[in-house]
Amino acid sequence: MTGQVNSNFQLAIDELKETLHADFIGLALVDLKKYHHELKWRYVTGNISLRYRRIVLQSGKGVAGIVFKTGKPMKIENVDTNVMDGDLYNYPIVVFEKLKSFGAIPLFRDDHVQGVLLIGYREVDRLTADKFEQFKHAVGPQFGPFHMKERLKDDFIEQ
Amino acid sequence: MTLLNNDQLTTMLHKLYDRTTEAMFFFGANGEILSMNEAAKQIMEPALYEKMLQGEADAMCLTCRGFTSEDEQMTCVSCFMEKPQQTLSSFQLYLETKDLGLQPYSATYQVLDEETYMSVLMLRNLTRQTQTSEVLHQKLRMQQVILAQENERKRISRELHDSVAQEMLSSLVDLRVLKYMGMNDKALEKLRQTEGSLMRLLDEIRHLSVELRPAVLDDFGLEAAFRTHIKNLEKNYGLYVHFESDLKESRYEGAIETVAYRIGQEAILNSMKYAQVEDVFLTLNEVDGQLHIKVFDEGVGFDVNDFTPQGTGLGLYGMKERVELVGGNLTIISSQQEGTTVQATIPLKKERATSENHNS
Repeated sequence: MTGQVNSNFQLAIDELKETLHADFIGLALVDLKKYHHELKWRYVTGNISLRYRRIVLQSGKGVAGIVFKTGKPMKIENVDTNVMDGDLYNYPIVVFEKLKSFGAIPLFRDDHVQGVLLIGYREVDRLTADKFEQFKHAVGPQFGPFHMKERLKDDFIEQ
Repeated sequence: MTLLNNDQLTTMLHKLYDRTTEAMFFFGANGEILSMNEAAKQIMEPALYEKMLQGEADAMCLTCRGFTSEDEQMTCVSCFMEKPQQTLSSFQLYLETKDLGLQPYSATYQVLDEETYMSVLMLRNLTRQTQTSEVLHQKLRMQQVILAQENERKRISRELHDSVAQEMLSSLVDLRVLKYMGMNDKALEKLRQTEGSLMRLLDEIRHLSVELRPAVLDDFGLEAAFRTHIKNLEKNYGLYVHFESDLKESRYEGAIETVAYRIGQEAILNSMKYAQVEDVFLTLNEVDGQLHIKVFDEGVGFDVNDFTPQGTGLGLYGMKERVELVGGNLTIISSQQEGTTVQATIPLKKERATSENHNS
């Protein structure tokens, strides 16, 4: 069963990369079986480095960590001009995949964030607000066992 | 002491007035300038000098930028000329000078004649002393800040590690016990999720504690602390640190361990941030009673003598200060092509460090 799910995830992100002309797609998941708490990049496509395999993501740290913790999408249209330039090293996946424009959304399961889906481009300003919406739309309300969460009112107040 | 007659004394005083390096100003009752000596003329802008000689009241204010009080570096509050009785006999005065701009002077102000209010102001240039004492002061302050920071980090780190994390762990154990107390699948699933988030939270707290100051450093020493740090770097950033250690002892003095650890940590962080590499090398060894710690990478380097820091530029400065704190020294070799090497040498015996300093 796991094999089935695995290939499905890989297929799904390959497909997403194709339709959105993305350079990189990564799927970070907490291990549903063994280490229930370990968040890692488990499926990637378009990667230029294998460094992602070494990394265990920490809640609240890095792209996946932040999205995981806040449960909110994150979008950086231009890495070079964004404020994060000073501590870019805190976003390893962005550095070693040389992403210049990226976005990430949380994946929910039973109202808990269980994964993060990242789309990235290696040129600046490629992930526009429209493109990001397109990405969310392409992922759909159901991604494997995960579902997208409808925005709560609180989210609007905070933003 | 031979007594001099009046004429001789006058001549001598006159000579002193003309030849001394101390700037002298004589003032009348309204602060108009009666006379200025050659030294005073030297430090003045020529146009200003002319203007001051015209006998305006409070002519000194044209060049004076205030004196140093306990509250302020430069102030006009309770000016020495207005309240000569309250002024200390010697104080620091700032003047706007020719060519050199704002300069500090050691000043003495004295009323020579109570009835006519004639007074004299004498100035001696203090630039060198001020600079020296400022550098010293800054250094001391920096070291105090480093020390205070380290102590505070230690305290908070301990608190997190010993109290918060412990409490969290016992809650987790309770939660696990709960799993076997018979509940339906739905509740069990929920419990599993809660357990997962609690475990992540525990990890986070532990990580925070280690990041502030690793308890391993205090409990097991330098080598163990570095190994933990390296493992974390690999986990968090995918960075490989190749660590070689050839230490004769497992433990050193606390201050030395702290400095060595922080230097290594900072140097590795710099490599990671700026050198664009996946591999960093760290070696620790002990030669001739000195602890050597070396961090090098084969990535993008910089010109050591002339570079614009990409970050705050405080990292390198801080490293240097830390090493000096324990009487060691820091060498940084870097070139654009061959990467960067940071090496710190720390004497392990304190006496030796001081005697060495005396000899050199």
